[in-house]
Amino acid sequence: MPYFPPDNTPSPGGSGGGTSPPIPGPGGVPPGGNDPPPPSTETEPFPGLTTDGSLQPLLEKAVELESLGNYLTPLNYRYRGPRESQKFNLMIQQITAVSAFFLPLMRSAEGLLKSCERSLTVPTNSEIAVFYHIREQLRFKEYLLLKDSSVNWFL
Amino acid sequence: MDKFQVTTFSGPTFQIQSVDKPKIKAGGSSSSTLLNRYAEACLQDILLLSARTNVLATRTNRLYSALSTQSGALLSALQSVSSRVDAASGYSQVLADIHSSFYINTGATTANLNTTWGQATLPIRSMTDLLVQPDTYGNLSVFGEVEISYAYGSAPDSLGYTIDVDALEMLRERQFWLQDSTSQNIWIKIKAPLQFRGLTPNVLEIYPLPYLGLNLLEVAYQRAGDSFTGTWLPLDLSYLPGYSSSTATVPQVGPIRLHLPNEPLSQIRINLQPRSATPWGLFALKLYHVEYESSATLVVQDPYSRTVGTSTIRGKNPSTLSLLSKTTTTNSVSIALTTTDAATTPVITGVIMAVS
Repeated sequence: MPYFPPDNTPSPGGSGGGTSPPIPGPGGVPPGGNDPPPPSTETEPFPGLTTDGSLQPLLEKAVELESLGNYLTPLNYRYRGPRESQKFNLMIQQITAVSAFFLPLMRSAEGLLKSCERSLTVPTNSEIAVFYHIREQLRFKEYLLLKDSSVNWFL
Repeated sequence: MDKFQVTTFSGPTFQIQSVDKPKIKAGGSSSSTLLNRYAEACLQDILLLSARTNVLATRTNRLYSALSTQSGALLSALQSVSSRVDAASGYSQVLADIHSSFYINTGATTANLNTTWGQATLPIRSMTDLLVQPDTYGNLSVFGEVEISYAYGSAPDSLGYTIDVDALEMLRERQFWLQDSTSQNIWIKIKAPLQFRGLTPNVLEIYPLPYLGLNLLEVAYQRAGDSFTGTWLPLDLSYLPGYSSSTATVPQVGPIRLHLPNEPLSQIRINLQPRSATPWGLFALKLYHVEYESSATLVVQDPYSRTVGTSTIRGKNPSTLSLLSKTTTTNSVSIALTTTDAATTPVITGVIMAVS
């Protein structure tokens, strides 16, 4: 089971995930070193994402889905210091966790699309059977009217 | 390309939708910033893909609900028309077809009835798919030797066909097989493994795309062991719904079930004629080895309780069907279906009854 941070709240100086204690950098330099903090994006609805108008409805749909809002929160992990590998791992684990959450959903949606595709394009057996029945009956009656009472022509 | 231009997942190769692709280079942004941006872009990509898929699925589901409702209304109207057609059978002879149970005494009938195919057969004991096999996960795999190819125009020679691997996806029931529009005659060839898992095919189901938009001119096969340039043996189409005896074809063919001679085959060829220029393909194609019970009874009746006089059985090989034992009692006819070979069955598509 991959580790998944319970809270993506930016934690400058933290290890990024909210569960590990802050990691002091070499020489007392706080984790993150002298990296400038990322620009504040808290006021943007979808921080860091430049979109054209066509994507807006999708994004609105996206945040309507339960528990998706957190994934749009900007990350601010610091990948420096003696435990750098752990921070890399955190990022990979988070991507893995998000993928593990969404990919089955996409697979399920694809299954729905597939079943709908068939239902929408293929007439049902009932529809075909009724059509065949009407056609056979009309053909038979038509022949009875237009030909003679011998049914050999209809065998 | 502008770095802020959004790429989509609809291209020929999958592209992650990223608004900004991070690149690590000397003198550039710090690695933390790049990794943060990279992780964020990946998460947003997954989120957007999921949102797009969900939106598509929701939209399709809504479309499905609307169309299935409309389809249900049309079916109801068709059934209403059907009952009027039945009620108008005020002639001295009626056709009890198998597409409806209107003329069938279902309580007394033990034969297998299929209203889609319009066929009454012996009850099915076992049915083995000879083209695909499910694995433990439910996925269908196509046997390696199976090929589907197509050609246009007059009867092509053996090298005139184009193999289309997409058709194998149709066999696996993953998608339809759909080709571009044409007004020329269409030839579809199915090359099947010689051994067929040790079983001989005796039932072929064809689901043309579109239904009722193509004429079926021929279905033929080659025996196993014949050269690929060998003789094509045409199958009897005369018992299929809508068969025209004047042209020996099936105009406006829908889904059909053909009964094969139960011998080893190597290739099957289907010849279709578009009624007008149309995209074409197959919704499905099935090849089975079916084994039947040895006997059953089909009871047809006049629902208006008129007295039944002479009756004639309609179906595959009418001369053979005429030898089946029949018992007439007042308004019904009981027909005994029998076979001595588990791989063959009488195929009845209707009974014409004189009523008075």
